[in-house]
Amino acid sequence: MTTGDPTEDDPTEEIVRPDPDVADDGSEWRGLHPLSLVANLAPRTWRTLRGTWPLLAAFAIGGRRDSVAILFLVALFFGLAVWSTVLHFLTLRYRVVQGRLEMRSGLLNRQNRALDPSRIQNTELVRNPLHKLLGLVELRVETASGREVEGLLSALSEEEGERLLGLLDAARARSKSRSEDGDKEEVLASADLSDLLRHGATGLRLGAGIAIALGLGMEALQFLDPEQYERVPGLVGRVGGAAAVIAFVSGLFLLAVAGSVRRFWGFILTVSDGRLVVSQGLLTKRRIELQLSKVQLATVRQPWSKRLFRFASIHVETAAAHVGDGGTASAEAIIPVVETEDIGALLANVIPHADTVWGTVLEPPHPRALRRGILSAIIEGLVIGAVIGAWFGGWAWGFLLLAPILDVMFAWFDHRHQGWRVTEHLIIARSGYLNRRTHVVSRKKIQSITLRQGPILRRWDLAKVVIRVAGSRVDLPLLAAAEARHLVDTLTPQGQPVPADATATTALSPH
Amino acid sequence: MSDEWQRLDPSARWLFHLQAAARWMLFQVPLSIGLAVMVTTFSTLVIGVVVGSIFAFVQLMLALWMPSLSFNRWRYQLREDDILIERGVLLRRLTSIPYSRVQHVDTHQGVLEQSFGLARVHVFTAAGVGADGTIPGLDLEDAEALRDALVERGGGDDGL
Repeated sequence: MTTGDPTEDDPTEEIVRPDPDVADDGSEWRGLHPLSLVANLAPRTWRTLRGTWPLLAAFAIGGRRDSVAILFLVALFFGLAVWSTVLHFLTLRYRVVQGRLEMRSGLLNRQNRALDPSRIQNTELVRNPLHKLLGLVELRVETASGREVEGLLSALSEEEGERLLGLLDAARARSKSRSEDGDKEEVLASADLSDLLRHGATGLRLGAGIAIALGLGMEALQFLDPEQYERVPGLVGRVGGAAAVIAFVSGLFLLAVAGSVRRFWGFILTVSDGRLVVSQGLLTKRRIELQLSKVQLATVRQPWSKRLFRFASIHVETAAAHVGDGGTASAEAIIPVVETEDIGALLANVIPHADTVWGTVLEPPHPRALRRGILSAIIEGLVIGAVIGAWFGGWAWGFLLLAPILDVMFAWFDHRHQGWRVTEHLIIARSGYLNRRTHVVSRKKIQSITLRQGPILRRWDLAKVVIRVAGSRVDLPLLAAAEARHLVDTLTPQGQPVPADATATTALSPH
Repeated sequence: MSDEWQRLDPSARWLFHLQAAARWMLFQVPLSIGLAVMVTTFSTLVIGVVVGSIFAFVQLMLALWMPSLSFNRWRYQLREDDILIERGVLLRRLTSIPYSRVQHVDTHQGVLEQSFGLARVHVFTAAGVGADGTIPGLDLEDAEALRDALVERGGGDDGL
């Protein structure tokens, strides 16, 4: 950045370079909001309570002899939680210098971190109920490295959060050499209450619910005498049993709908200046921003229940997979409801050229792949049938026949609905009948391609192609070995067209 | 580094055998003893010893046989835009990693590899390394030359 051209004719002109030690807005290192002590201590206290509940339970039911030791241990854990919260508040400092978010923290184990704007995958402002009560926000900045949120500022004032987000956005825009005025904001998708009800209702996990209920039921039966087992059906009765099943399914349904409303309430997806912005959340408000150029993969999820209501969900992933929500969350933006006829247009906003392939006829898997599917289904069905038969005995041995038949039927449906296609710009792969997923990847994002062949696939001259992008992977349906090898040779990220004539004759060397 | 398939260093065959023997001694023999003890608790000592011995013998045969097959299968090729790595005995794999996607390259020497003067090369992309980007049993100089060649050919758009 200069204030003028330094020339010999005008020696008074001088170059003004950004001082790396001065923040973008001229301010020095800043700390978290003082109320962060409350905002951070509450969840830490809850985590400590969850972690020490066996000790507290022992204290409640135990004798006096151990109570002092238990109380001391619990107090120690709480003390550590308070200490780490106070230490975090006192030592965490941050600033934005030349677009880089710099953070330092720690007393004995000091940590310095600088996040370059060009490496930022997405930013997120989160307001949970406590944040809202205290007028605070949490800022999350993620890069492609690691499984944690690399830049986490857990409690800032709302103005400070917006200010930091603005500074980081401006830096990211500069790093991409975009114009400052940018494009106009355009709403791509939104969801009203009826959409969320549809989304929740079709997200009902009946199988998981039944498994949990069976597990709890078996645990409860452990407390009954064997003689009382036989009296349970008589006590409940047929009407009571039916009512219990209806109540159970209704409960699952309500939970699924409530979960959808809680997560996606007020959902709105906009695009502006090369960024996707998602706002959503009932209790915890989230605003997620991710650069379109960072999108690695889009997955259209159309399980049978969603197909019945003629809509899909679209999951948009960047390379910044992180641990959250009880597992590794890779999808950065989830569009809960997209009408079937709008999928192509919406995908094109996320991955360029996607509308040109969506809705076109896909290449089927190799016909011999059906043999492999049927073989796997028979083995799987026999194992499931044998387990059910051995567990329940008697009539349940009928599952030894029924389970393979059902499995083979689904394998056939699955085979018929698989598909793939490679174009000059994109790779598209579809799998599943009951739980259909279609992955769309830009060829520019390919990190590696692997061809796999086990002994059975070699015997049938088939192969599997796995395409890896940062943070995720896409498996193509089973192909003829020569065709798979041809893809490995030609499917480059440079976006060259894949010639139609496969020249390779064997997938792997015969050594 | 030519545009031809490159094989592992010949001494890597013996390294693979030694590693298999070490795995057999350290893991599979104790596993066989554990299996024998477990079977004995359900039947007789003789049956337990027989089952454990058969298990250990099968594992020993595999430990003697598989390293040579694995050595024969492992090869790599530096092409114009990517490196191809082929390996696997039962489950065969062929991986293509474009040079522009290479984030960094490591050479690694374990204790046994050092005694043979060999090294393994790990190729890291943004998708991770896993088993797909590893070439073991290279002469140390070849491994370092391969590492340098990959770093030299890398750069540009990394797809992130």
